[in-house]
Amino acid sequence: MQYILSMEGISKSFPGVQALRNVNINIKKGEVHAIVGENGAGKSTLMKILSGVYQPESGKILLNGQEVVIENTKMALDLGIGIVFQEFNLCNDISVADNIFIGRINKKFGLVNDRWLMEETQKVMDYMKLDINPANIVKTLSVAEKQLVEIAKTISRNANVVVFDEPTSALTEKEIVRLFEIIKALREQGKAIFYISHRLDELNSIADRVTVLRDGEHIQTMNFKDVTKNRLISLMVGRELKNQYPTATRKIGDIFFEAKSIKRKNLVDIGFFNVRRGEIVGFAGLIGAGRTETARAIFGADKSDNMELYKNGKRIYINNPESAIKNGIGYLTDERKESGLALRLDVEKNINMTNYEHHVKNGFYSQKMADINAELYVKNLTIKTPSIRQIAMYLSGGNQQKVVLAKWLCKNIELLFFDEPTRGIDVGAKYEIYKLMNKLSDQGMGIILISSELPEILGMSDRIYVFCRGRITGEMKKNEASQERILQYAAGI
Amino acid sequence: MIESLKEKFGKLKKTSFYQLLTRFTILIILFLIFALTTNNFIKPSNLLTITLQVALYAVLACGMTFVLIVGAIDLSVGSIAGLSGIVCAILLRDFGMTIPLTLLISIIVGAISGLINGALTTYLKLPPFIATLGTMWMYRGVVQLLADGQPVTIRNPEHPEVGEFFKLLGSGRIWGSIPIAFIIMIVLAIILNIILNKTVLGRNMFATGSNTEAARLSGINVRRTTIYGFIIGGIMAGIAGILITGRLSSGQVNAGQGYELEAVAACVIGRVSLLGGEGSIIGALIGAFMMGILRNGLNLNGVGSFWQQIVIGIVLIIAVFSDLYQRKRINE
Repeated sequence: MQYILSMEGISKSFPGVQALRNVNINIKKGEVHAIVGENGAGKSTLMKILSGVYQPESGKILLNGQEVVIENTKMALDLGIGIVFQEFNLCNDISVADNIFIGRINKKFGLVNDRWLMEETQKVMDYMKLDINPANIVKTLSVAEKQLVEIAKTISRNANVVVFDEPTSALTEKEIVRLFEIIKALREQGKAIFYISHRLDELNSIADRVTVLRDGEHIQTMNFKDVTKNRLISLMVGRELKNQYPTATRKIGDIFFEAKSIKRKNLVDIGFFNVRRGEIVGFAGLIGAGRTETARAIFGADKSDNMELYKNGKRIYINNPESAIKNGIGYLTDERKESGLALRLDVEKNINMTNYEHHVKNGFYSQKMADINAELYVKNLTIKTPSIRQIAMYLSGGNQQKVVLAKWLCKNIELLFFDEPTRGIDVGAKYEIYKLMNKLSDQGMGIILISSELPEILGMSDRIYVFCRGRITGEMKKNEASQERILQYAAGI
Repeated sequence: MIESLKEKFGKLKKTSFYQLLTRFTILIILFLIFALTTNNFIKPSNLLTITLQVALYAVLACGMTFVLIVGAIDLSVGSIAGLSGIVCAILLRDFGMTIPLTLLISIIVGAISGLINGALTTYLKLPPFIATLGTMWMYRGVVQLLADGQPVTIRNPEHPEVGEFFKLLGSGRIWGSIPIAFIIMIVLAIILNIILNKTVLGRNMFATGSNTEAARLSGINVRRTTIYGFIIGGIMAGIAGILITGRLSSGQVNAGQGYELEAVAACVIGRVSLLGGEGSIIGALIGAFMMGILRNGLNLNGVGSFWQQIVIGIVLIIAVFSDLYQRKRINE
């Protein structure tokens, strides 16, 4: 029994997707075990099962040789398992101290012992060499500070197994160095540490072993010093590109859209990119790399600090979605349910949302014109719906996406952003969306495809820009592109 | 054959027409119950009296419908009614103003009050509940200021017919029976229905209330659309204020107090969603009438006004609960 923790045969599925299939992983005391894999490989899901957020459908978890069933997060904490989440789990409106000791505040005569609370929190802050006042309300902290508080929260629980899920995404070099010192100290103390990260270079300093996951399956586990970065990347990426992508006969025209500078504080600092007519340009990169932020800035959805855009050689100014649309720019958002569709309205009202002013006859809105327009797009895009009066929320994901697409086709759009267009959509519908994209670019539309699925970017793009931490770090044409090259640029290597 | 009928019924169930139909059916059932339990209920004079009483609340509810559809709420409409009512009375008593001008200015008072609410919500980004809670107090305070704490009777010795006109508006009847206020309500309801369902603005309002971000990212000016919703609500409140002043032949300091809750209750009962993006003028009218019929019928049955209040509260809760329950059933 050399392993303090062992997860065996873990499987987990969600509607439409097998997140984990028969995954094994184990860890010893005093080990730092890295977990790597692409987006969607199952890393977070596996750790969420360990920390009680999800329940596995099959498999077992052994802690100190005993089988345990972790039914909820409290149980995980009681068992000595702590997780630092990628998406912070902090309560924004209360203090740092309250967050760190949430659920375990010391009481004096039944009342909260404030002095104890502040003193203990200060001890944790000192240990982590953090200059944060325990009384500060969390929402006033910077993103980096929040991440550090999240880490402090878990460390102060003295868990025996600690999981770090992308803990450095918001930290500076100095803070990362301090974090690694803390991790090494934890290792000295005999804690077992799982460390999920995309940043393969970081792992050099701390990882003892590394496990590669891909498409929900365990690929390989090995000692970190025995493997090269390139080998890791190729294991992560492994699969071949099957014929999931329709062939395109594109006639790519001239450059018609250029961005010479896009700046948004702490989010985006783009120097230059352009799009040709009839071209599909891919924006690749890790989540948080700044692609959606760039798109939203160009579309006028968010304010930018500085932006220089040119269409057909002339400078254009965009400060809200209306002006973007007037300039022929459209944006298919990455979350169709949150910002693409009005779920409680019917298909017709959604399709026509960009275009209500167009269906006016004699000063009044003409339902007839609106209906004709909606029916046209339902037919052209083969949207499966019993009628145009069907409420949007009852459509399947793929058809919902088509409705959003139809919304943009109603206008004279010359440059259309597709942000994660096939997220949560089944394979058949994905193919239809790809075919539509090809058709649109054949007709001369410029398309910018933002996607976290590498195969999708590689299969559909004529040219790819790779983003990393708000900047464009690489550009490559279709025939020069490969998953390995993209991952390298995306990780900032 | 049965299968396809069942299927068609299932689809129909999901439409908003059907939802309103159930409400309407309940209204008819209430009507019949009261008709059977008291002799006086079904008398034409009583029914017309109901329409007179309901007309006021219905006008407010129709205005509130716009505010709710656009995704907001306006708690100050009662105070706005009081404000426009007092302005109307003062213009008549102290300035001897002509009828058309008085009407215009009083309505504009309502519009501007609504505009302020809209601006607070969209420019200062205050949550509508908080913003209009504040203006509810503010506007009522202005009413107190203007009236100097006293009722303002609309007596104009040089032009007594002016006072008569407003009295007619508020409580007069044509052909001896049909209240003028009721007719005003119907005309306003028709106009508002056209705005809501047959204009681009109406479309924009549904989109804005249903998913503000999606509407904004589709190029709709959600700020302007929201403000228009508040302005319409304010105008309706202004008209209600004029009717109240007419009915009482004076501007009262606490005219309209509490009416905002009546309006919200009528809307909720009439299936106007508090979350925005859903609702209809017909719904608001059904809601207002249901409350009016309940009050009247219970009254005639000797039920005290305190019990009436309890009944209305229960009806409100049942109405909201049945909506949520239906929504859950549909989702499964």
